[in-house]
Amino acid sequence: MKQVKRFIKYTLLFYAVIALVYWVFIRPVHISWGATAAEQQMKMPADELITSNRIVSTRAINIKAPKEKIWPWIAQTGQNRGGFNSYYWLENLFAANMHNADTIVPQWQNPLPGDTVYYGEGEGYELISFVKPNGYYSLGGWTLYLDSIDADKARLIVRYPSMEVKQNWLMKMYYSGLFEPLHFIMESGMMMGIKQKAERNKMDDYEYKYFK
Amino acid sequence: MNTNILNKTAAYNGALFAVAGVFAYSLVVMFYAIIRSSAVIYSIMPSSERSTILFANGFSMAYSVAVFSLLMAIVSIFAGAVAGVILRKVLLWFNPQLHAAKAILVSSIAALFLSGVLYLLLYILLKERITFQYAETFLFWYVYPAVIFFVAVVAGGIKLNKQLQAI
Repeated sequence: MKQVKRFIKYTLLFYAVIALVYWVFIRPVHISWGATAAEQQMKMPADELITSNRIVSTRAINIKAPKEKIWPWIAQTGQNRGGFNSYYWLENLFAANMHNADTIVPQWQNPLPGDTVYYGEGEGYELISFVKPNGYYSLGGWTLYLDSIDADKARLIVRYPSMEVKQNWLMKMYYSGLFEPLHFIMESGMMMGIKQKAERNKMDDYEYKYFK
Repeated sequence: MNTNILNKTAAYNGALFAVAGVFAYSLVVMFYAIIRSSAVIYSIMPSSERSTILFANGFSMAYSVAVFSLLMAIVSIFAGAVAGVILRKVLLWFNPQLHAAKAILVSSIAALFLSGVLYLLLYILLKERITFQYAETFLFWYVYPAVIFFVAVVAGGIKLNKQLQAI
């Protein structure tokens, strides 16, 4: 039993180190990963839905494609549509039944405010609140915003408000302790997935297969 | 024979085995998820922007799994303690001569029975989501942990049998 106890002790120590690194170095970075100060402050269409007791993250990524090539992948977001372009193999550990489309599907190219978008099969859903083709797409207060850099490049800026947590320590603990890092993983995965698909004709098939 | 102390010992050792099993599984999951997601990131992000997201993703992944693992460990303390006590009772009932080979057989049958009970509980909670209809979910939340549970119960049974022999 000594070995079992030692294994438990060292695992706990390892977890403590991970938690320390996460809270001191990683969390302050991932909350605004890739976003400039101006992007963090900029006004977004669904900001009016974000109440003050939410924790807000703004993240951004460069995409070497014009907005028109990025938009179709954003337009078909949703478990009941073309997936979330993120780590489907992680989502499916939680019975999400997620499948990321590897083609642009015409019937999903016209998202409208009020449309229902599922996060997982038969699970939570959100309604599209604001949408502008080649511009932005908001699910509740969560906005994916496209900003042109030049004719061939664009920024994908994503703002996410947490659930209302600031006045409830239990919710805040749940959000900060578990939901937030998981959401960062999936959201950054989604942003990179969209980037990969929009830039696809410039990449070889070997790279593309990871997100199929 | 002081059965109270032995029951406590069996429960304590069962809890330790269960926590160790949860941690071992979590570490495998943690490294698998980090390696797989890092390969994706490496293939997409340009080298100048890669290191930040690799570190942020890796540590966020490790941290999330660690938190899940600690929550699961708390649940497993009770499950392991109950399994330890049940294992002790069935070993004494069905193997009073404390034969080593029979202890392995009795432990294996107990492990299969307890795995079945665990599955029933999960099925009541999750219905078809804990069937092969959702293969990834089923394998991740039941099949792989059940294999670890089986090994832990058999190893625990062998150890418990030796402890009972020593009295």
